[in-house]
Amino acid sequence: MPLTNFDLLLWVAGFLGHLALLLILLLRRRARMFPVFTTLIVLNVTRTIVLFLINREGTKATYFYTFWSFAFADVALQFGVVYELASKVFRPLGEWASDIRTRLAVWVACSIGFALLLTWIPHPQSRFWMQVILLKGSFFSAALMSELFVGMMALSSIAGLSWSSHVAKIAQGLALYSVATLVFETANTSFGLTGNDRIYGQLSRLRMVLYLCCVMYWIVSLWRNAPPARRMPELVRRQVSVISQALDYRLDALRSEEEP
Amino acid sequence: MNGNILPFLLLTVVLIVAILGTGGYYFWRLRKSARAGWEDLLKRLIAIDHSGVDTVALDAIEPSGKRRTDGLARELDPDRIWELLGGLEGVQRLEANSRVLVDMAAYLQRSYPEAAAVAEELRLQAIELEWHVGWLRMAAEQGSLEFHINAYAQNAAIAYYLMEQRLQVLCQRTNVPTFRPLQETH
Repeated sequence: MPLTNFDLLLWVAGFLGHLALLLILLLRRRARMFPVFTTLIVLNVTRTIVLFLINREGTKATYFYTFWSFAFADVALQFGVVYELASKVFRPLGEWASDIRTRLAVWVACSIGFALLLTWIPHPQSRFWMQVILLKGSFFSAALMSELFVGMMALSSIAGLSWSSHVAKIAQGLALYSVATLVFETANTSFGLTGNDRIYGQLSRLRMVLYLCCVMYWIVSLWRNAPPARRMPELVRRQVSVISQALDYRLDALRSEEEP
Repeated sequence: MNGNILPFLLLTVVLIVAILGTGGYYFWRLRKSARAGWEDLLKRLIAIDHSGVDTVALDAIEPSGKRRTDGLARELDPDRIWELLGGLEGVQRLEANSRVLVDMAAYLQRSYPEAAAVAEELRLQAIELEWHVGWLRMAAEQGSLEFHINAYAQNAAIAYYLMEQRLQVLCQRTNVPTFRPLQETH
C-alpha cells in the first residue's frame, strides 16, 4: 500500500509524540512507577525508526515481517500494561485483595471465552491465509482488551478500590483506544482484505489519529503531578477506628450466627 | 460478504454497547465517589431511623455495649424487629449504608496513601457487611426471613447503634460541627 503525505505526517507525529512521552516518563520519574508502560513507549519509538529505515532501504518482505513482529510485541505489551494497572489497583497492600481474586479470575476467563467465541464466528475474506490470522488476531486482542478494562473499572468500583491519578489517566487513554480499535477491527473483519484495501487504509489512519490523541492526553496527564499525599488527620483516624470496631462487633456476631 | 457475518455483527454490537454502557456507568460512579468528601460520607452513613434501631439494639445489649443477660433480653419477636427496622425499606437503607462504608474506605485509600492498611481493613469489613445485609434482603424478598431475622437484623441494628453512639461521643469531645445534625435527631 503506497504511503501518502498524510501517512508520513502521522508517522512523524507518532514518532515525536512517543518521544515526548518517553522523555516525560523519564524526566518526571514515572518510568519507575510504570515500567511496562514505559517499555511499550520505547517499543513504539524503536518501531518507527526501524520501519522507517526498512521502508527506505529494505525489501517489502522484510518490512512486512518486521511490521507484524512489532505489532505482536505491541499487543503483548499492551496486555502487560493492563496487568501493571490491575496490580496497582487490586493490590492495595502489595498482595491481591482477598475479596477480588476469584472475581477477577472469573472475569478474565469469561472475557477470553467471549472474545474467542466472537473471533471464531466470522470467516473474513482474504487473499492469503495469513491475513485471516492477522484480522482475527487483531479483533481478538481489541475485544479482550476492552472487556478487561471495563471489568477492571466495574470490579474496582464495586470493591471500593480507588485509582491513583496517573493509573487512571493511563487506563482511560488505553481503554478508549481499545474500544475504538474494537469498532475498527469489527469493520475490518466484516469487509475483509480482498485486494482493494482502501477501507482498511482509511480505518488505520483514523485509528492512528485517535491513538495520537491518546498520546497527547498521556503527555499532559503524566507531566502533571498527582495530588500531594496527605497525612490522615487524628480525628479521621479515630472516627475510622470507631467505625471499624463497631463493624468488627457486628461481623463477629453475624459469623457466629452462621455457624451450625 | 463474509461468512457468518450477521451473527458476528449482532454479537459484536451487543458487546460494544455493553462495554460502553457498563464502562460509562462505572466511570460516572467512580468520578462521583471521588468527588465526595469525608464529612459528606459520614453524613450519609448515619442517616438512618435511629429510634427503631436503638430499640432493637437495646433489646439485646446495654447502652454501654455489653450483652444483656437479664430475663427480658432479646424478647422482641421477629415481626416486631422487622417492623422497627422499617421492613424491607429499612434493610435496603442498611444496605445503602454498607455501600457508604465501602466508599469511605475508597476515600481513605485515595486521600491518605500512608493509611492504606487502615483503609483496606475498613474496606474488607464493609464488603463483608454488604454481603450479609444483601443476604438478609434476599431472604426477605424470597420469604425465608423468619429463619434469619433475629440473627442478621438484630446484630445489624446493634452494630449501627454502637457505631453511632461512639461516633457521637467522639464528636462531642472534639466539638466537630459536622455532627450537630446527628445530635439533633436524638
